[in-house]
Amino acid sequence: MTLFRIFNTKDNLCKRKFLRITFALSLFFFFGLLASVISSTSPGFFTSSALAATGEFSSAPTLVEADYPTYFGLSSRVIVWILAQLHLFFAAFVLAVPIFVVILEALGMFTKDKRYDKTAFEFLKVCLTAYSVTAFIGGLLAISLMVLYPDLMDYLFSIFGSTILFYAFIFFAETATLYIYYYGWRRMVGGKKKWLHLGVGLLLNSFGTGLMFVANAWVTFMMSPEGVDLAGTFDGNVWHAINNHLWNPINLHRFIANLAYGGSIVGAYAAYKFLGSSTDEERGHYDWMGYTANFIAICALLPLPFAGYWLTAEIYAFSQQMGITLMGGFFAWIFIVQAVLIGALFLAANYYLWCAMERSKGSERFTPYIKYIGFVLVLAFLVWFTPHTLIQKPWEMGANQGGYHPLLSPLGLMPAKNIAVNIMILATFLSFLLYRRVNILPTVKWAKKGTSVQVALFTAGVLNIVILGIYYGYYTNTIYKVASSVPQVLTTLLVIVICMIIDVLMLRGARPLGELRWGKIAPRSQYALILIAVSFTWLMGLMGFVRSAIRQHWHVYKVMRDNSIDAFTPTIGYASKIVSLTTIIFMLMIIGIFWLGEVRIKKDKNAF
Amino acid sequence: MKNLIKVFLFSLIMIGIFTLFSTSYIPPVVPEPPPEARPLKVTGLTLEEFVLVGKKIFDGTGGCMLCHDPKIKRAPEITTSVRNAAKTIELSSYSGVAKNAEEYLIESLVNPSAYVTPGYGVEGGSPMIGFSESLSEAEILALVAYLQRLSGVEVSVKIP
Repeated sequence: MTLFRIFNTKDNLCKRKFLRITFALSLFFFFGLLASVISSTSPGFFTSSALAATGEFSSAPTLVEADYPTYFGLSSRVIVWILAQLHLFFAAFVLAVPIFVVILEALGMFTKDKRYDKTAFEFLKVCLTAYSVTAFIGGLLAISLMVLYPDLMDYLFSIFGSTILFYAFIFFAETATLYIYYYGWRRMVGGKKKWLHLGVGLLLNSFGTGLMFVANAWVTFMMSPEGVDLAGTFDGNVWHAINNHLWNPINLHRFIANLAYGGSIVGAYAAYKFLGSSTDEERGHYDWMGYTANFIAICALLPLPFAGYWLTAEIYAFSQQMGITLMGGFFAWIFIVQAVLIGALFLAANYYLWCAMERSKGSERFTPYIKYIGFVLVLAFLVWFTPHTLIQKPWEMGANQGGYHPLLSPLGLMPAKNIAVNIMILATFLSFLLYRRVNILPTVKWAKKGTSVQVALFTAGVLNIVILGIYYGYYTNTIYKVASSVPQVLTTLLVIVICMIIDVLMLRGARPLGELRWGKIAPRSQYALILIAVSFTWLMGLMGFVRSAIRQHWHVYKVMRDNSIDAFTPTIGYASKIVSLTTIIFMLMIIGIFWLGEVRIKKDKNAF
Repeated sequence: MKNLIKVFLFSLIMIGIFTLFSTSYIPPVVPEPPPEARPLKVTGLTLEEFVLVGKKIFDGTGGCMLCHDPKIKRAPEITTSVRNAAKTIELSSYSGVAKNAEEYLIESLVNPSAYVTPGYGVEGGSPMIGFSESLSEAEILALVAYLQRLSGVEVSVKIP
């Protein structure tokens, strides 16, 4: 309580700043200390270039069960799993929030709308606390890895030792820019100062993204090792190990996913605040914030499956065996669970947009179309949800002459899934187009023609996606099955871009039918935003498990074998329980962080 | 506080649904335990032991049935390919360099793109990976020996 009294007292501003900066520096020195401990215990650490010169790199160690320390009978894998996933949840959040804080700040500068600035600053405050928690959990993860998997870490340090120092430097730079960005918010106002502040924000994001790229190099090396021979002997060039086959696909996928995830968490925060708002003004503010965050989340969600395709294609290109394990082997069932989660995401996002139409007069014009969009979404969801092999009773197996249903089985293959996901994306985009028009009427002479062109584009796009999927997916050579997804994706993107251009031009000078009444939205819509955040978190946990588990019984794929007691792949049911546990822990922690943020916001409520 | 409880309960219910779906709808398949750690002993073995080494690779690190399972039809049915190996190298469309059935099988494992079975990839571009880097020469021979035994043809491979 004493601590909070200090934090709530205005004349203790210097103390607060001092405490925060001290904490950030402590984290930095913590990492420095960690590095020095490692360097003293690990002969390979920080010495890669020296060893390369003398050719002293050793091969990856062959371990036995006794090489893995255990404590109190706890499962080392579960401890590392939970800590790594929690770290990833928070890291995704603190990397994403500054990105769209900068976007909001820029929007505020261009539109002169103060709401952007207010919302952006509100989130930066929340981010500040989350940042410290991220670093703390990251530290715990590093310690647990070194204690529980010492030989693996020793081997990885012998290769990546020099990057740890670089990582610590970027971490320090990110911390410094975050504090400058935060404390400069009220000082760097107007004119060139504001531009400078925006520049600091961009720098902050560059450091944050750089930090993620370095960590991604370690993770992807374990999946697709390069710069080492079959025995794991390092060639001495750390860039070879960093720039491994899956590094860039993961970089892109995580960058986009972080944006979508950050948007969803911010949307959930706004929804929660909306539900607890007591005045129209507050409701209006949080409704607007929820809409903006959700808009950013959905914009990032739309290209995410395409980044996922690229990543999967590169996994196949690196190792056909790993690719098939992922998509055609045991893990194929994971994608049925993923279908449910992404289905929930798309349905919730569309439902929110449909509810949001009620903010204004004129929404009744589009109400009849909603049921058709809903029908298409559910149909596409059901296709995505259909497994290739069905669970059948013995007599059903006999009737179907095996595990494959004659009609439903083709829907379980990737070409059908590709059709479904592209149509879901287009349906969501259509909901958004309708929402844009809800309170305005186009006045340009060519409005009818423009709408007709849009309808024709949608129709042609859907037909092209379906024909490409069916023809190349089922009636040509195996190798074209995956390749057909590229023109499908291009079709979707083309429809979205051209329709958006037409829409923007067509709605110039449009006649307003009524005001958008922010805050006048059904409370049930806010649960859609919360569902999006929960689904996203759970989905991230699940896909994190898959990414790691496709290495199977290898620490470093085909180079360093995992011989621990946990070297088996757990069942999907077991993995889902761990994911749920991690999600609940994360939710409890993030609620605590939001509460701390609220304390700050109350204190600074007169800032704007 | 009332809203916090409602939101938290809603989230818990959703997490519960996802978990229930994953534990009850998804078949409780228990993955295979990790294959025996390599290196496999491949010298000084009898023919039967040598074939058994090949079987271990086939069932384990090779991951052959991920594609060659006749139910999945992702790749040619393996025993038919082995039985027809001698005929395949006589085809006018054959683009590899193997001179006999055994060499053809080795070539298919080391350089799968040398000849691609029609319908399973494009010419010069097999979707299958080559095993020259992940398996030793003796292990490849052991695998060929097992494939021959599996397909009911005479094992022609000489134990190194």
